[in-house]
Amino acid sequence: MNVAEHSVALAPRRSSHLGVACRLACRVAWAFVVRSAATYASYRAKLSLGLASLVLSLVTFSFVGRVVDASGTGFVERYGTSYTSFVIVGVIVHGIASAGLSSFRATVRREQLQGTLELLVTTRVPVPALLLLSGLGELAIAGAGGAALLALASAALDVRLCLSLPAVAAVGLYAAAMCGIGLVSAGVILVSKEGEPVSWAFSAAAGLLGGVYFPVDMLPPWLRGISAFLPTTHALHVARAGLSGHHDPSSLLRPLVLLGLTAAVALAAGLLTLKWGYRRARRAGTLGEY
Amino acid sequence: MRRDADAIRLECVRKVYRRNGRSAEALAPLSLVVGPGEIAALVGPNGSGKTTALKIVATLVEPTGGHATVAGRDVVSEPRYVRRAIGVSLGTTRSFYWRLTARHNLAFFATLEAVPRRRIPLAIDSVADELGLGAYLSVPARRLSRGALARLSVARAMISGPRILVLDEPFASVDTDGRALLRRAFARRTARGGTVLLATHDPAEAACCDSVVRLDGGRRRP
Repeated sequence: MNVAEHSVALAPRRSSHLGVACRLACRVAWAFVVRSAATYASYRAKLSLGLASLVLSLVTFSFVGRVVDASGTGFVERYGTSYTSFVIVGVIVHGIASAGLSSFRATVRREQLQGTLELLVTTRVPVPALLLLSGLGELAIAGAGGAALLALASAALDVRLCLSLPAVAAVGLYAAAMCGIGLVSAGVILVSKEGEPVSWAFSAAAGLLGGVYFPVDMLPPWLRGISAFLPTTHALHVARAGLSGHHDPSSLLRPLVLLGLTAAVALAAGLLTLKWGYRRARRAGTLGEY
Repeated sequence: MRRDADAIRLECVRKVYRRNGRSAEALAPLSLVVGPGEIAALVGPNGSGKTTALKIVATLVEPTGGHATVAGRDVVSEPRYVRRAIGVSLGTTRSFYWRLTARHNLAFFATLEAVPRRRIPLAIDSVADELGLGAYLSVPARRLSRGALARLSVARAMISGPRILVLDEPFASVDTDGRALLRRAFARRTARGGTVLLATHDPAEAACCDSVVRLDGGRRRP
């Protein structure tokens, strides 16, 4: 095929068919995941240190778990699981959610810094979809890290967790909610470039009040009230109950509904903020600035 | 896509940047028409408004006033349609994924331009061959010279075979042979009805174009 034929074959065409759009969305999402994974893997020191951190955190949780379980605090009775299982589930779920919270903002920022954001915007992928899909790579890496931690914990620490539908649904909905807030954060970054308080506040609150490292029952009553408003609290409750296998399915319905509503509102707010940030940056001519 | 329209039409397009309560006119009302099969150059010193004009055409910056269409589509209200018709190159030293090879960079953008998966290798080999990049395809972008990056940037703009190329300083840092390759590639496209709008501050390069618009301080000069 000569250059002329090649050009005609690739000439712009309008494809409104939903199936074609979905296939393109999948291809673009996969391209972003592959790009992120290839970039991540090319930094060998970062990859090695990431793996070493996984092992070290596992060893730390194992020792802390021994101390807590031996201290007779009643963890096993109250949660039907060891402290090690409790904290590993917390850390994995929190890690995936944190990636959802930060990946979109970080990706937008990185694309600005390396000068690729404007070129991405001039491609055929609609801008909100582009920015949404671009964060998936980091999310996939965080998911892979969580899966590796779970696999290591199961193999080395005898942590037994059964994968249940409510647990998977809770983690998925929680990640979607955090992605929504992450998109709000990315929209703000498009305008402010640096300094974005939304994700920082959510991440800090989730770590302290969401029950990642310790049960929320241990918080003072007034803080427990705030904790009840965090999706982290509900997601971890369902995830732990589901993964431990000791749960009454009906008791998990309410938190799952709450998580679903939070995810829907957060994603809608995220996409609206992203559109606002993009339009404002385009009008100001600062899309590629950093 | 409206095929009977001018490729690029700017009517009294102006841009005023407002920052920190101050206004700066980057582009005074500018009108120009570039038809199918033409190579047009925006020429002027640094800060003359060339890049602002190109970014308006590329739908990256909204004009403050006036009306701009590309392939018959309005750049403000119909950016998605405009983007299907254009290929853009904005810079050389940045704008690549440094850790990925030249081929991987091109393949990534080809995917985003909806080039069918099976055609991507052919599309990459075709533009690389045309711009003399074949030997660099397996090299990470961070190891490429500025001249090679400049050509890779143009290759990326051409990867989906767009009808209109919008190029900012495509000849910057490119050696004599590379410039000849670029000129031949542009000529091939215009011979088939394609359009090239480029910005340059090199009068010698501009002299090879069908039309030249001189800008200085955001204003058109005779």
